[in-house]
Amino acid sequence: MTRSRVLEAFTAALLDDDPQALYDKAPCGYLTLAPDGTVVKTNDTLRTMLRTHELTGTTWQELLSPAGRVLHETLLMPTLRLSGAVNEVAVDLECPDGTHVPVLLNATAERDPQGRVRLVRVAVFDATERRRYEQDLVHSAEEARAAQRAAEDAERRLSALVDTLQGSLVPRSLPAVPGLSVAGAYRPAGDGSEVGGDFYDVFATDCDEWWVVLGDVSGKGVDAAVLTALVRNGARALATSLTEPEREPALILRRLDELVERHETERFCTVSLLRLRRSATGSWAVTMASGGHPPLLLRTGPGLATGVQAQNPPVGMGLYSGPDSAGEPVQGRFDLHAGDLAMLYTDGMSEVRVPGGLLGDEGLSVALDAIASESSSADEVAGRLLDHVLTLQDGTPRDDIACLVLIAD
Amino acid sequence: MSRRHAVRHHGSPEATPLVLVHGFGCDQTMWHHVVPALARDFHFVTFDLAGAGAADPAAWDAQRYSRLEGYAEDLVALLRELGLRDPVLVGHSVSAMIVAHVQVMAPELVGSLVMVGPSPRYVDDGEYVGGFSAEQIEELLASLSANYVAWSHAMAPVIAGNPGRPEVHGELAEAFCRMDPGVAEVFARTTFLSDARDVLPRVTAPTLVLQCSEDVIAPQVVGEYVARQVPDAELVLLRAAGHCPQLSDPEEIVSVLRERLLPGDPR
Repeated sequence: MTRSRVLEAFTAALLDDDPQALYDKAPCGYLTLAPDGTVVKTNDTLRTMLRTHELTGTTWQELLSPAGRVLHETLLMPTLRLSGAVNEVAVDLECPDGTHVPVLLNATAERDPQGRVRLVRVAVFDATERRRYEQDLVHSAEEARAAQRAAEDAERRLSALVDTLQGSLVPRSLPAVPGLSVAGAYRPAGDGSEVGGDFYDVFATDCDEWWVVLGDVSGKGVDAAVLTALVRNGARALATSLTEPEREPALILRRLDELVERHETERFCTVSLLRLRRSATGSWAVTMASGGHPPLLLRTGPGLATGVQAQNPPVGMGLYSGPDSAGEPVQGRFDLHAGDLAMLYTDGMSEVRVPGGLLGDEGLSVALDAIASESSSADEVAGRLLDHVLTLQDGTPRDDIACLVLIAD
Repeated sequence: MSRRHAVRHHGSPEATPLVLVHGFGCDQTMWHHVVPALARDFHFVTFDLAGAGAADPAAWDAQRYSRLEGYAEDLVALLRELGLRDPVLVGHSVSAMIVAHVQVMAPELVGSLVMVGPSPRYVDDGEYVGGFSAEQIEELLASLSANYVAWSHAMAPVIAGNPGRPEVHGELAEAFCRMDPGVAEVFARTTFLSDARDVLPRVTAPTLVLQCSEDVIAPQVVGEYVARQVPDAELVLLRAAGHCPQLSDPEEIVSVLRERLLPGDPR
């Protein structure tokens, strides 16, 4: 019987006020059970729903699927016995012809004066569509959960990868240099979810000769990281393998330019190279060359630091050779005596918005003076400078920030 | 532990202690019809297993309770705290296996066992008949979780002391068998997928196996299996039908407990 015909019959019964018809043609299945589960009485609607003419004598347990029987024993029956009613239980009924009908049922227990269950009345609603919808919902929720888990996993893996990669570009700890305190500070842009282009390195080529490299590759992400690794490792390899008179920052800059050019990338890199040699008196003789990088700040006593330029083109633009060449690369030199401070940094440290414009190299120099005059170590200077610059940007840097602070012992 | 598991004491404090452990699907109200009739004969301790009834929801841990041993460890801790003298542990359904684990873990805390409708494994396995195929159990688990989702919503608006409800059971009914759907799913899996067959031969306490008639969850062959595997076991066939004789025929359980556990009683 179709739903509309059932409704029609029920409406007719209502109009006639015929109790028997109201029972038989009700828009839900009715059945009455003895306490042991024997089916005592059913209505037409239920028999139609279960595609059978006769149900009397079968048991409720036989009408349930195996899963339904367990549900009956663990939930339905205990609740019915203890509280007298259950509502909205979802089960599958098994028609005598073997097919299944998903239903929702409400049941009430009628007790005798001693409180024992005398009979159970059950109202059965066809829930085929509803069950399908619920299953869709469950599937969707499962899919959503799986997708979320996958996304979280991917993010975790990515973050670990970024971390590993970043660790290969910016050393997590710097070597101890005898006679020189060296401290670095680094902070990737934003939430740090992307590999930055800033890098630095400190390494020895001899017992009294150290190199300091700090640079900034244009752009971000994996591409930029590849170039960063190339420049950083290239500088290390060149400084270690070249001999005098080739082993000079300016000449290494030119070689790095060739190296990056051969890499066929649109990206370029600004970088500062320092070569530090310790003299017999304990001071450091420094040669320096900058490839398009912000100046080195040199503070040799109280007051503002001076900028050391030794400026050449950025590496990777092919400006060190050929028709556009600016000629021989230049390099500067200075000495670091006990207490003198030199600082290298990337533009993420100076191109920070302040009221009236950018912080700039001058603003940074002012901050450095204030901090250096109150600080006792390179670590403290680097840490406080980073804090200062972060505070100016409410804690979230727009660009990568890197700086190295050297103080001669 | 007592507070965590909503422990309640009933009956005579000086009498033989009976710790009643409810099974899957419900909570300690399951024993509601048994306790009053025996209040003068025993000291009853009822409680809610982790995740069930009024047990502290904060103590729930999906990992811990994915094994029957997790529940058993709780009961061991609870028994240590209660310090009962040779208590009888009465485990219904899955809790028959939980009390078996408890007895093996801490024999010094247990006097004897009563297993009501026990099954060490519901899924058939070679020669072993558990009564269900793996597919049927999967269907069951899906069906159970569908119902718990529906019920948890239907039962959410609890109105305490609703005056419109004349029945004494009214309030109780509102809270009865409520379980967080996530908790129910884990407990259902633990219940219906566990295999405790290897524990049975290691049970050293005297054990009474109460087997219902026409129990679709724990059929008679399974009860017979349990009684064979536990070294000092006695099988008692009940006339009560179904899986919850303490509800369908509390009088029978009452008389069996009285006869078997109070042999010297003149009644």
